[in-house]
Amino acid sequence: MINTLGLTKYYDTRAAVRDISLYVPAGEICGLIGPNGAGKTTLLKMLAGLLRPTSGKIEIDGIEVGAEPKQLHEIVGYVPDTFGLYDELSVCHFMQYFAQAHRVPKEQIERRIDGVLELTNLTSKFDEPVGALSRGMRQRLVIAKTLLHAPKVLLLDEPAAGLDPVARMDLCELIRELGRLGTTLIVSSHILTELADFCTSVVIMEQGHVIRSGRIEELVENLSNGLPVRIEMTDAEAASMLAEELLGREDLRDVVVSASTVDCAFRGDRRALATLHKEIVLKHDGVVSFYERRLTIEDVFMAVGSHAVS
Amino acid sequence: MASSFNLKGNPELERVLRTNLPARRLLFIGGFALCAVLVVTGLAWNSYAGKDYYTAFQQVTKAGRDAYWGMTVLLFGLLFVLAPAMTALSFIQEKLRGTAIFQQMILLKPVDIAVGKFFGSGAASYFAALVILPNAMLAALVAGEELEDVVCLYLFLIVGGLSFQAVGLFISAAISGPAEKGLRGGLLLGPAVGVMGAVTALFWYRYFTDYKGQQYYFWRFYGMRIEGYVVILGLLAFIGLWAFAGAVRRIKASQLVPLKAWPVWLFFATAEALLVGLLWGWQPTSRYELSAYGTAPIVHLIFYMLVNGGALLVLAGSIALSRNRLGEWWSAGSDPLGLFHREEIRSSFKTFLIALGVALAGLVALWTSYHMDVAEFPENISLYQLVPIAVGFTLSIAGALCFIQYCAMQRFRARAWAGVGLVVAFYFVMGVAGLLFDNRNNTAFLANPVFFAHELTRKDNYMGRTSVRYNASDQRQIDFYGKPNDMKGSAPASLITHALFTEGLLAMGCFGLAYLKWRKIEEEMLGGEHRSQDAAV
Repeated sequence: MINTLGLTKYYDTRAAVRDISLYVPAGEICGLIGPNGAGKTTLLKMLAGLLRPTSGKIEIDGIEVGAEPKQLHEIVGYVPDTFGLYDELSVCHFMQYFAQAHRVPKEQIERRIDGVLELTNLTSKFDEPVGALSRGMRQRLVIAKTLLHAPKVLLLDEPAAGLDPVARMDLCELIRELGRLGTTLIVSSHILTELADFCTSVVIMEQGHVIRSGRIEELVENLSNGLPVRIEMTDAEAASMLAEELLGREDLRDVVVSASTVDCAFRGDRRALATLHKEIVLKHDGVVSFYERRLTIEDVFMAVGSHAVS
Repeated sequence: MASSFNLKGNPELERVLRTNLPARRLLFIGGFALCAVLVVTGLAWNSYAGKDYYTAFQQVTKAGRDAYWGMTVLLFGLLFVLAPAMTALSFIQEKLRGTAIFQQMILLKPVDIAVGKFFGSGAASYFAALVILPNAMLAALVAGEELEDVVCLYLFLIVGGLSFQAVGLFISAAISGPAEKGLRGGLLLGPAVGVMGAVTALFWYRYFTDYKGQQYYFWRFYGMRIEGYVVILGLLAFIGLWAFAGAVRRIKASQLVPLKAWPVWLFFATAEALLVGLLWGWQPTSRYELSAYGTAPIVHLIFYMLVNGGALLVLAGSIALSRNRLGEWWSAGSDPLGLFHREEIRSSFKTFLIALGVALAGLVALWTSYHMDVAEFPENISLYQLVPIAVGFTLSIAGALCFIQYCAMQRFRARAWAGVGLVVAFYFVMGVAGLLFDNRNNTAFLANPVFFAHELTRKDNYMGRTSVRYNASDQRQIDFYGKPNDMKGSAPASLITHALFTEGLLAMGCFGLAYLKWRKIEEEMLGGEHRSQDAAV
């Protein structure tokens, strides 16, 4: 669905995005991860046709967009990280304006507005002024207006920023729902655990480059150097004593102590892991817990790159 | 659920009207306008009522006249000041509110957006004016004003008001683009455009009232005598139409729609034709006498050169290549985007050359018009003056372009515009410095092509005098007092050499500066790229 080739954007002599070649298949929910200044917003804006690349090629749904990014707006929806709204308008008039402005056929406008308001759970606010909506509702309203022209691709830049936990959960649910409906989504966020909840793939950016991309389970699998194990001890001293002993074992790698916790990668099967568990519990008094840890996208993010900004 | 949708018309206009003019505000404006009408009429009536030295009829007509003028002033305030001021804020408000990004993505035609903002922003003023206008007409009728005079003045009101609104729209769109950062103080733009409208109205309204029909205030267009108010209406319409077209172009640019170069060429050609027409030729006052409307032709020519120089500097500022654009120029990509970037850059420089060519063509045309065979005055094109003036002007503009490009490659915040400012300041300072010397054949003075042109044609029979007569019997030119005049536009070679050498040297210096900076950045960009590629290998 989304294909970029050698996409580069310079601000002055500084490359904000450099030589990015990406492929995001249709229906995918792709998370865009990276520290501030990594080039995420620049990349999203180029994909949304709001910023002209310095060089490179963007192809979305078969449309090659080079010099004329305007064509993109017919199939792409973009929700910026910061925005304002026409507070004086009612939700109804706000949606009407954007429906007409996005050339939604007249006979479909009413149905579309009702549909997207229902999807974003804003039907009850139909006649209320936009200025009276809470921040979470405003975020959902912008997503609703972006969905009016039924974009095939939806780009969300930090959609959860500044939302309270309930609004965040609502938003995550909405994104999952959109994914189920077949929309291709690219979501940039700092909140990695949230992304892991609904993303099927991720792109990790740093200093304008893509340093890792792919489906989450593949990245996690590639990252693991064995079975990830976490052992929690009663105190830091017990943890360091245990780590010292574990460092000498050949079946354990990447032994890392953090306060009273020891993380390591076990090279062996689960039966051997059970044996190791037994050995450690018998030998050390201070073992609080011993478990096989699930690697997350956070581990992938922390393991790759230097987290430097461009 | 959703009902009573009104889909007719322009969605942007609907949105602006809903935002700016809800029903309650509309009622307030209507009431306020009616109150203003009552106050003005009351004050006017109060001035004459009960004055025994006037008959009752005179009291009514005089009060009617005062009321008519009072309401006309209100209308000017609404349409010449308030509507342009509100329109000038239209795009700035979108930017400040944070909705500009949505306007970039909507699929409305740029012209629809411009029309929506134009009429939407002025709607409150139009509504108030509609309330006042019938009352003003009634007052004019009571006052016994000539219908033609009223129509003429109100034509000025409408054409001028719309024209200033278009100017406001253009300025607003120009400074609110997605890449524009200089928005601080943007809200002051509204009052500034309003003041501009007020000053223009004050400056020109007499052409539509007192001066109408008076020979002394006739203007000339390519030698034709035209009523001053007709020329002013034409000028306002011209400015308004091009400002609106410019605003649409700015909206397209903000939506990243590729822009065609020909409208800019057309603008320069039409503006030049208009300017040349207004400054054209001598005014024959008798068979053997020519006068140049009270000002010497060189003053017209200097005005022409200043306007063109200013326009070319602004154009140079807008096309100069920033580091960002240089990156695109040097991009090795042969993809459609890379090719498009390079074509766009080439096209903008082509536009500059065309604009310069048009300016020079206008210069030659004007010069010729001042040297034509009119009233048996001998034709003498004086190429020995024209060519140095044209060459000096070209050299100075080329030098300025190089200097502006040099500044654009720096890391100044204002970049190319800093260059434009510095060029203007340089010529101003040099001019003042040059004027301090008694002998005008000095480097500081001659560095300025306008001062050079003035010096070269000073006391010249064709260019430097407001009135010249030609004595056909002895084939001699005589001045206004009949004294023989032997100054046949002699142009000292030393003056020409000095001026062209100075202007040429300046141009070359600026070119050298720009070239060195260009090479340095090329090394920075491409060298850096090569180094990083090497490192990657």
